[in-house]
Amino acid sequence: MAIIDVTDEPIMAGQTYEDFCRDNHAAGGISMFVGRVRGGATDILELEHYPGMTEKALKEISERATKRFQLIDIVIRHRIGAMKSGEDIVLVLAAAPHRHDAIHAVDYVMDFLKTAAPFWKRLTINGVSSWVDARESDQQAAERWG
Amino acid sequence: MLVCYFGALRERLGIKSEEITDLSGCHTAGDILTKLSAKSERHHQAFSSIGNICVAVDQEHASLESPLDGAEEIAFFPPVTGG
Repeated sequence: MAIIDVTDEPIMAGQTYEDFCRDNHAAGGISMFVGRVRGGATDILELEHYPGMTEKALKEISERATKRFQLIDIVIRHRIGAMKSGEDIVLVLAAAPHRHDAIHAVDYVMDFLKTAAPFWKRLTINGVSSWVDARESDQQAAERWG
Repeated sequence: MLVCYFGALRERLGIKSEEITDLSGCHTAGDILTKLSAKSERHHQAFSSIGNICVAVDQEHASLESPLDGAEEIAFFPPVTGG
């Protein structure tokens, strides 16, 4: 049962992984990606999103990944609000009969999450805030999937 | 029609959303942007400051050429940066 979650609470990657493994005990391969806040101990990252559209976009990405890689199950959990260095921003879990599909599915989801899901990052370093610019390399990564 | 703003565009406009009632002459998302740009100097400067402005019509990704077709909600925002 796919889980799409946008939350202002900690992602709890370990617990989610344990639950996912229990729910998909027959899967031959489970792949996991956790995106985390980089930077120094005093830096703050804020995630803004478009309520409603975000959930729809993530659901669409998960459905495309499930179909393309014949997934058994998938989780996409994305944090919003303010967080500090070392905290988890995003978690993707994919379960498939074989490893390549699980691994590629997580890569696919992250590429489209970065280019199609309506989130915006704002970074504060030493008290100075600025919006994070989109990267051309992320767009190129998504385009390689055709 | 409800017009929503996000990210740097929301911050520069100082509002999260606004209603636009006069849709005369507006057939595409780009027409809405043009009309709003003429609404105030703040709108004009905010829109001009965002390179490659993105648009969603009824919470679906769209382009400035996308027809409105009775849409109820439109959003303008900078390129996304999640993940």
